[in-house]
Amino acid sequence: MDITRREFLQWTLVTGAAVTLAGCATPPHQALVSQLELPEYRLPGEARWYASACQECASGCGVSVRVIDGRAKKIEGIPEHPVNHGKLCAKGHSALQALYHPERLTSVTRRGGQSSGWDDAVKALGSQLDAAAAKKGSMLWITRSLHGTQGAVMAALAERAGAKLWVLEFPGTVSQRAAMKSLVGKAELPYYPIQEADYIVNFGSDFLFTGNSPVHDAWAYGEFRQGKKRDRRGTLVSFSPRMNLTDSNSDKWIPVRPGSEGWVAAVLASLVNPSNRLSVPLETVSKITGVERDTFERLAERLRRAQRPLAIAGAQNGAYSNGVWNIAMIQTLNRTLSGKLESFEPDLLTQISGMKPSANLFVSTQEAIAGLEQGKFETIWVLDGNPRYLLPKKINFEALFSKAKNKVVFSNYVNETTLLADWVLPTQTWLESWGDRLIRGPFGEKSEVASVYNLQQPVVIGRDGTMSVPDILLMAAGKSSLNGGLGENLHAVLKSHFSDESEWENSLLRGGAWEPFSIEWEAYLGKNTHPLYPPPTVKKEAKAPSGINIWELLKKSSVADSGEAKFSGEGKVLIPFVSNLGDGSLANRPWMQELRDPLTTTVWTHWVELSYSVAKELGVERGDMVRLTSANGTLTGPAYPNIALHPDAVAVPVGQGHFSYGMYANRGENPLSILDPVWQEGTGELAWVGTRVKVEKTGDKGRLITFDNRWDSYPKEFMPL
Amino acid sequence: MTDPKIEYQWDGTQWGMVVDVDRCIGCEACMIACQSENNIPSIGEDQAAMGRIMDWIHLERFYTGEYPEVTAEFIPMLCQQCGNAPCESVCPVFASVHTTDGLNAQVYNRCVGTRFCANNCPYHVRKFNYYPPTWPSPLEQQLNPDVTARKSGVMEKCTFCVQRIRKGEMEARLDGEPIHDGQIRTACVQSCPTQALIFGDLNDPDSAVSKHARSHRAMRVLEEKNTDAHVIYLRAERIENAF
Repeated sequence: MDITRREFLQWTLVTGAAVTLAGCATPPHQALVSQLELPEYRLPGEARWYASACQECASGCGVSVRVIDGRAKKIEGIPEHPVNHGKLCAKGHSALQALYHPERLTSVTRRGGQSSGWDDAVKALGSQLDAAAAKKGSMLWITRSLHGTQGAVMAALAERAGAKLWVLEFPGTVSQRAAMKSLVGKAELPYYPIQEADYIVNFGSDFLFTGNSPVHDAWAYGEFRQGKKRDRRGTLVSFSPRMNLTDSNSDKWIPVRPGSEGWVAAVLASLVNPSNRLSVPLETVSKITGVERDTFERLAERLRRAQRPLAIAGAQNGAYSNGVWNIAMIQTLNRTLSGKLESFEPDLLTQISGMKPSANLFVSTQEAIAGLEQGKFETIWVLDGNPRYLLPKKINFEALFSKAKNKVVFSNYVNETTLLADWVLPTQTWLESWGDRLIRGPFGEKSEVASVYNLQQPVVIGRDGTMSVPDILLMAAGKSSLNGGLGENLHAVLKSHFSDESEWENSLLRGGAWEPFSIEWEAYLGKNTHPLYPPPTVKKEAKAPSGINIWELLKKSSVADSGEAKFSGEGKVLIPFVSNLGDGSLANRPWMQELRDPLTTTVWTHWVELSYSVAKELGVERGDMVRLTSANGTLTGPAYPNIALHPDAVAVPVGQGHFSYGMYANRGENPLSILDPVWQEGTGELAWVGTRVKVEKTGDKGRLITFDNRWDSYPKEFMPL
Repeated sequence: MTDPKIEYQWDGTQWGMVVDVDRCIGCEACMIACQSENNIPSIGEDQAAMGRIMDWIHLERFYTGEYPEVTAEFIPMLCQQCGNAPCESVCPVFASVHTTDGLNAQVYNRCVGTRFCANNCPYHVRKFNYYPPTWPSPLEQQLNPDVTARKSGVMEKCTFCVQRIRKGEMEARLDGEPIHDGQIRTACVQSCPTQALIFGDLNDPDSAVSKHARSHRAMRVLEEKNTDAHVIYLRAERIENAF
């Protein structure tokens, strides 16, 4: 087609006019940022950094968020923060995808698809609170563990309303706290000074990846291996049924039968110090654990020679029916080795609650389910978490939840639990809301920092139509008769802790405060006058008396005196483990789905790990579909023969198997759903590893996406191994 | 006859990285930090199944031994910023070129997608955009404005966070001071919890990278290929008899 110059110009003018008209129709909120009326904190294209505190897990890392034009772009660690030393894990980075997730809930929804406003919702919540206060014990709140002032607000309001709090987490910290309570009287989490140790025996705790404070522990691990101030590199030995990421970094990994880790620790404690009398012969323990007698003796000898030995327990040890016993044994070994047990507390609230709160506020999973079965709860609020995904099908959460008259779910997204709710309230992420946390523990290079106060502030304006959970609760309380003195919103409550405006501003700039404090704690905590805060106290443990009789010690405590792990059913022990998707809540973040599992390198799907010998026995190769059958269900998945798995176990990652968690998450199968309800002794929590399953080959080929064989053709001497 | 060897002009800086394999635990914090900093898209299950994941840095896991005597090791693998880069010599359009501060650069708007460079890279670290990347709204609001979002048909790879290097250089110039060692850190270095990654100027004998590069544990991956890699690895130390 020939176009003359004149025609070309005419067309250009017409098109230009069309574009201009279209531009006029742009809604104002999509228009460019006006340079004349800028909020003072915003400069076009210029980055602003806001200090805050990561809330992805309980560790309490300090973060600095890069914000450009009102949008969060990158999350980084605060370099001088004593917990994370400027570092951040994959989960913390991926919080941006929770903030800008395309499937976020942005309006209050009622059952039947009616849309509703916040006014109606808050009024309804207020009247539910009043009804609950009139009939104490008729309300149940389901949540993850509570932290800081927001947790204290929740606990205070729950107490006023006579509500029960059910903390439901996978894998949770209850067993670790229970073990510590039995040994030192405080239900705190054990703190392991890895950076100071020269010889570590790990009992399958994945402290570097999914532990209580993985970034802090990973920093400490770096120092343990190649710290500049060390005279020699530290040595790490691991005992576990499945080699996890931490075990894979050990100098020697020794496979043990699932649930027998406590026995290994008990034997070592008795060999290191013979006055720890062990009445069971060594041969019997060898049979229970599958570890040779010689190994115990040589390791005990090595531990005696170590200058700063350390034994580490974790949630993995607590996942069995004998979980508390396991951890108590490992901690007993620790005390035998070093004469002390250190603890840290990322969750201020436990100072109020402890394991058995005086106000009887908390219920265990077993108690909560019994209550639900009896129809005791008229109103259930799910404040955080997805119980329908986490609980085994056998428990039938769907039916139990439906018994309640009022069901309210607070959530960022539609998930399996929101489908059952009468009200779904869209909540905010930690990047949009206020919060804080007080962490106590021997942090810092020389364990010199005793307390860290994290202040979490909104780094961006909250998504339209959403509110933070504590603010919703405080508003609801305002509509009821229960609000007296709780505060109007969380921002006001947080600010009321500070008697000095400049200290508040300093804390906002730094992301909190940590020792050496410029002012005393009392000033931070409003001279301890706030009803929600108890005084922070830091006590060093007294040196334990030498020559403890392990069994006597345990008998005195509430810990069950049986060291035997109970498994229901027949076949292989099913180990549901944490990979990149956490407890399944990260499954809707594409970054985390596409992040390869560190050991199997699998992405976007679940898999079934079999030991090489079991795979060979069944004639199964990588990618062949296998079926796991428990008394309560079946799971099929592509097989991954794992070179480092005990033949008595099969392992499946938790995280996949959603059916209503959005386009990224609805895939795969969930190992938790086929578990038998086996209970942990002494805590009333679910024993996540307590089910045996039958393993069969289906004959089909599945899709297993892995990336671990690209370097196989290269000789290993060319690699830095 | 002219010498076929390409003569680079050096302005005195040679950016390099040291990877301490003994510290690396394989937690993959570096991978997400990189993805977040450099606008790396997620490609979905079907494309991942074809091995097309776009990670600029990833972890290679190596098992050694047989059950029950098994050990594992993790090696972070990223563009080695080779001085003698196999990718550069095969690019027909000079999209893969060397900069004067020793970076192996990829010029996106020159790239025509022949994929010769990826074919020639022995480290498998070059990633090709087979399809246009997508960020379902509002995920695109997280994109870093300092980094170009690539389109389909374009090869990409680790840049040593060149946007951070240039910003650091500009700030140093404005302050009238030289760039201090440790002042510029790539996203992966910044987030690595165990401090397994160190970044700096290899030409500066006092920099942390230079000091580590002189360690008895230092080596280059596939050194026999003579790529003159500027990522130096410190070998893992493994105790033969842990007890």
